[in-house]
Amino acid sequence: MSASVSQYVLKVCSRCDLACDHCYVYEHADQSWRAKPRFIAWATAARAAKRIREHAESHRLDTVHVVLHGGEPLLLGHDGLREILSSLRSSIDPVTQLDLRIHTNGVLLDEKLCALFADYGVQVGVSLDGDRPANDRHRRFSDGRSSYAQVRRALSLLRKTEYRHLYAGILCTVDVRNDPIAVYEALLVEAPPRLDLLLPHATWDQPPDRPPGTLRPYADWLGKLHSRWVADGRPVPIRYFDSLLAAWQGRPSGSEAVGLDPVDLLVIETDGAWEQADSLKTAYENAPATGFNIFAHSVDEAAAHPGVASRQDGIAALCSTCRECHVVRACGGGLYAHRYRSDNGFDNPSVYCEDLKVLIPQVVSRPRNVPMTSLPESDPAASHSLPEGAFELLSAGPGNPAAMASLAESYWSVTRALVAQVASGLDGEGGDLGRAAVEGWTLLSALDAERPEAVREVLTYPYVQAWAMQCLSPGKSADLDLDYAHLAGLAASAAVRAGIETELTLPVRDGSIYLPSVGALAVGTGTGRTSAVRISPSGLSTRDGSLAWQSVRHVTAGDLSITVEDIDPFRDCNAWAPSGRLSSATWKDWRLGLAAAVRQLTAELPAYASVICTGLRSIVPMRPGVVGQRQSGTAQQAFGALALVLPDDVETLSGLLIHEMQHVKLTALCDLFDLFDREDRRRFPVPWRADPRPVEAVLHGTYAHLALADLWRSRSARTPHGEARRLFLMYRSWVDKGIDALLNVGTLTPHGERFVHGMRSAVEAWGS
Amino acid sequence: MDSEARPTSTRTDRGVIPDLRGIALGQLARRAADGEKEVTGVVSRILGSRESPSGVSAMMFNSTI
Repeated sequence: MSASVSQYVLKVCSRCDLACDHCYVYEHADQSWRAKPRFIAWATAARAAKRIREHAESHRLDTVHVVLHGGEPLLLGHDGLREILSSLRSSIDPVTQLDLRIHTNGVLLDEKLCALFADYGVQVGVSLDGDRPANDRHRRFSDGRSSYAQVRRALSLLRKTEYRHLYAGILCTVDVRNDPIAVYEALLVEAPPRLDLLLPHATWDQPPDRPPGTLRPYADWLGKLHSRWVADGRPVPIRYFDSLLAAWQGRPSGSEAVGLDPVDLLVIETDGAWEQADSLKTAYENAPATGFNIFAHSVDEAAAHPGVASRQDGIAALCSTCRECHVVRACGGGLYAHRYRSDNGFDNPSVYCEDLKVLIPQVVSRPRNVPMTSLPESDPAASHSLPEGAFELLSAGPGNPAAMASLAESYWSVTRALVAQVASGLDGEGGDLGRAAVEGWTLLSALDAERPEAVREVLTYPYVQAWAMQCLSPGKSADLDLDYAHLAGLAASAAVRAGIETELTLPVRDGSIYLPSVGALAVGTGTGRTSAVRISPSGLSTRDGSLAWQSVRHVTAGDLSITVEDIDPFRDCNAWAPSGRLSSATWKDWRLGLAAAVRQLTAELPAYASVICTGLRSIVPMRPGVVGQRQSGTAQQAFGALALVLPDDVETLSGLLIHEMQHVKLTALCDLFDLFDREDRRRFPVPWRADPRPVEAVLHGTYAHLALADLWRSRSARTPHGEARRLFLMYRSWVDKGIDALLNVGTLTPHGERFVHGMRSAVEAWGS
Repeated sequence: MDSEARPTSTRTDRGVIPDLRGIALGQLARRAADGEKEVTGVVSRILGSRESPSGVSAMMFNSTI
């Protein structure tokens, strides 16, 4: 059976109203567009929808992605697009979730089209190459006029409140003659929810432009932009960088341009031809052709075409140079089209290989959300701060990714202090466990100097803080020798991430050894309190023979990339018990549920969604508690994590996510600033509970309900007289009363008053 | 005169957590062992806030807050 295909590019128009001289459709080797119908016929689009539906049904696909593309798809006009969108929705919606998108140059985008896309739930991506000089270098009309003003007008439309949820992002084609920082800054001005950077399509026959005197200009250009982006706290996801990092870390890259994921994409041309990825147009005449068409051939038949099938084999399908390369797991050999040479086809590294070998180490060595290039030298007098405006943005509810990244930075210092405090108590006593702790600490502090990014990835894992605080505030039943020896587990995880070879003695807890953020190895209960482990780039092994390895589970959905932690022993830091290892079926429910919730939140409250995607690291599945009372929680000692019982419906799950993320943000803010007098022992009535609550809980409750009020405000805009409206009014009333209570307690600090007034301003801005 | 009209700095909110990112872990542990406030102060603040009378005793917020 052929592989399933979940992504389709539907070419609805084969012509364009611009004449960009870098366009791979018209200006490169394949000129087949000349013989294609100008527009797709309705019957062809309907047949395409039927083929996609059949395939989704037979392969039981959870989601299908369809991108309307061209040429310029908006040339089809409002009515033509509506017919096609209606056909796609009516055919595919009943059998699977349909993610509809359109990619346009933006020139023709207007209010009427935006309203159409809102009606049919179509996300809109726009091409823009940067500031005016950058954009006008290529993106012009055939008479030489600039398209810049029209594209910016289109982007301003997508920023309007009523269309903001449709704004998919900006695609920028790189030209190394442009200033990368000017390009980056110009793109940020458009407030896109995400960016992607596209290397100009090129092959070994037609290499990319390399200005005289430059060796690896694309690495230099992208490297400068990457450094600035990281220094800014990654204010917007940039897919090219995120994909390289994801692939390097063994996660799906989410992009055809990098990584070793099987290709999961087919193109349908305006004449109904099934084609391979259209980037192949840069290789040679008719390179994307399969010889199949939607009238005579199913998706399965098209996917079985040798050109598609050969791209399901990961690293085995690459040339020998790539297979032996140290960065191949990130680049995956680069975009397939970029490997082409007329004398041996695609059995080559990318024509951008030398650039990728320089760029990738920079991208993968930067931990997520860390402004490395702006890190100050160690200055004992310096303290963490929030950038200008971040405090107000946080007090208004969502904050933004830069504010969230700043809170994470302050927590990195907190975690370093906590771990150092634990290590300061080591004395080497405690037998094997004591020696394991000292040995682990020695390696961990050495790696901190040599491979800081690997150490950071491990120590910022939320349950490491929970472990450190358990060591520093142990309960009566604590096994301190065992807990301190967890330092060796941290060192082992950092060694795995750093890709070094070493041997370590690790503590055995309940028959397993635990590598935080990586996984656990069952070694049996009769093996003593420690076990010697060999760590190498190829994996983990024990002298006694291991029983079973369990990896930490990852979910990647949209811009969200988190773990669902069901093995780490220190995940048990909440007020009720976590679940054990999830079954395969339950794990699938979690993956699908979280993906759907992120999609829903991104559409409903993109500002909240972007902060969740920036700051959330992990979720702990919990055992169901008392119905209606314990669905979710946030442990103050595990920054970046929350805990949930997976609800049955997406609406509830998305609500729990934004609710708990408010606690994550506010906990960090309360650690960074004094918002209230912690000696105030009084309790105050709150509308959401029968018992009076301390100041901190009033503050947290008000902040959490501010987000829920915003969520239901958004939902009630669609159904103004229903349950959503009732919930919005209820949460808003709770927020109002919480704010009134807080402003009267008399023990808020100036920062606390500012925060509460920020919440009030946000509510007042909603109007009545 | 024009230059005086331009903002020369951005306003940030400075918090109370010292920036320990650039200090090696080994050195931080030695400072902690010596009782240097730079490290122990952070630890006390974090542990203390989880046990403060104005806070939530379970060290956790949940959907009932």
